[in-house]
Amino acid sequence: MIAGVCRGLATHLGVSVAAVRAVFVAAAVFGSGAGLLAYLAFWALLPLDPDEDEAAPADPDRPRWIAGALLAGAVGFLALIALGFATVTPYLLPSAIAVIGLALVWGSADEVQRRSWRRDAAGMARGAVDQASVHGRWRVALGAAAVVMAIVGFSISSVGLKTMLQGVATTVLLLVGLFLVAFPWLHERWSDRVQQRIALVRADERAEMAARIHDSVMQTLTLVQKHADDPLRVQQLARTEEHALRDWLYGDTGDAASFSAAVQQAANEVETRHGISIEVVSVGDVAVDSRLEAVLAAAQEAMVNAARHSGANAVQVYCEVDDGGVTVFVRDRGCGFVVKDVASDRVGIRESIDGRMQRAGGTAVIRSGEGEGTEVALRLPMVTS
Amino acid sequence: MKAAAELVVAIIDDHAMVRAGVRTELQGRVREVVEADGVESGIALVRTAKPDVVLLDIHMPDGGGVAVLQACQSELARTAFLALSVSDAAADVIAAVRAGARGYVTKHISGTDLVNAIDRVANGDAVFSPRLAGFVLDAFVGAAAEEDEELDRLSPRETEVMRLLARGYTYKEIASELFLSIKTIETHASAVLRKLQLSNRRELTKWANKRHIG
Repeated sequence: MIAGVCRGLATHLGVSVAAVRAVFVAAAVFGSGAGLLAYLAFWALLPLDPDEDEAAPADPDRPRWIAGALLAGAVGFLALIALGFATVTPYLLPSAIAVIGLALVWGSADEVQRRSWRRDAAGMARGAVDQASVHGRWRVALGAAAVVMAIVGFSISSVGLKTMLQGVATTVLLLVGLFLVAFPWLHERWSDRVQQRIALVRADERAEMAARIHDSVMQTLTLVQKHADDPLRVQQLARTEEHALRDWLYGDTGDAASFSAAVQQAANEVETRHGISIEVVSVGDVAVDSRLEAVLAAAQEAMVNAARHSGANAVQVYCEVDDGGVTVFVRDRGCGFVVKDVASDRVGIRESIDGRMQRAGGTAVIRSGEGEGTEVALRLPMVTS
Repeated sequence: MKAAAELVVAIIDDHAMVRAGVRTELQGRVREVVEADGVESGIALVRTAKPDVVLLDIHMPDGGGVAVLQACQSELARTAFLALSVSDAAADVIAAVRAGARGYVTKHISGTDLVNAIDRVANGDAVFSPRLAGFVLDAFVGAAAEEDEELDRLSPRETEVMRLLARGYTYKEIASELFLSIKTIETHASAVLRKLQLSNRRELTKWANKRHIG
């Protein structure tokens, strides 16, 4: 009615709003103002509706409001006592503390629970106890301490310390007994829960695997069936799929900035485009700079030439990086050609391979002979800067 | 020295399709092809059929090729093992070589090359795929200078041979490139294989864990 505390509590506990209001009013009238205090405490400490909470950013002024309201409430209450409208009974202080403690625990319990659900859904980021959840646990501990303190205070003031301690001992024994009785059941519940989580993670993995297989393998198989009469196309499909699967299975083909990864990538492109099999072997590695980009481009051009002109169905690429520099060999066992017979205006070799390497400060040597296949050797010395 | 046509070759692979494919490739080029579809049946086959060469799949249930090799240590003198695989973690390939395999080839290898490789291991020589050669270079040459043990580094000639193997050269081509006899090249390759099997360089495991061969 005033701040929606009753409605909120009613929704939370699943009872009617009227009942909650009646309890508060009764507590306010007969409990010497405890209801009023409880109302204020709930308003200050309970979280807002979670949906609202997530939709709108929290009001940054809320803590100040809460402090102000609590202060006003306390002052008003003291005024009531001073004027004689309310009396200080021995029950007032403990009940007030208990109410505040409960508010803390309930509010936080919800929050912690929600957070743990969210964490489950996000794949159980175990161990990642974030700041907020630590904060929440402190609030729970504080609230629980308040409630216990209130009960102890209440008991001592009404039955005396000795009886109270006896009562505590009995209660502890009772709780231990109950726990022992319920232990198998609790344990089962707990392991059930762990099992469920594991099953959930497995199901997720299986779903990802299924999606991957459907997207790639199934699609490719369909395409293979369709192109069964075109061996080149089928080879190309199989190769593309192999690359994709390898990438997925073994992941780290290195980042694209590494030279050996870049050569592999260039080879994959030529394989896919020209339907030829290229094996890349690399020894050592280095980060790609602008000079190495030229070597890469020249190497790729050599692979393309081998794919287009040699007639071989496989190309062997070897790249080695050491302190002296970078060396790349591109070799095929195709028809080969007589090097000096190739017209010097052929852009392919002169510009794309020779020119590129020379501008970068390296060399390109082509060895070929009719029927012997071709090997292009690219060398780029390291510059010590 | 036996010619390829006199050899008994065993295929140990859990995929029926691979066995059928390899059998087709070898048919008529070797004396006899026998098969086993797993680790246990493979070990039994090696002991009963006494093949000259075993083509051994690295990845199989129940321990894979390495388990077969470990059980067949006493057979290594008369039977040569050649690891055959598609794409494996280098650690597995190196484990197979260190357990006694005399070489490693990928399942993509052509029929003729496979017969050559079988012939080579049957005669006690080593078989390096370009990738295995690249691996050896990477693992041995990287920090060779500080190694004292002869087992732990490659001689300049061995390095040269490995480099040409990594470039895709055959033994014959390497021989003519280096002006040496094929027999000498085979000796160098066998020496490198021995180092690969016996060296305790920690780079071997380090590299093996990082890479894929095949």
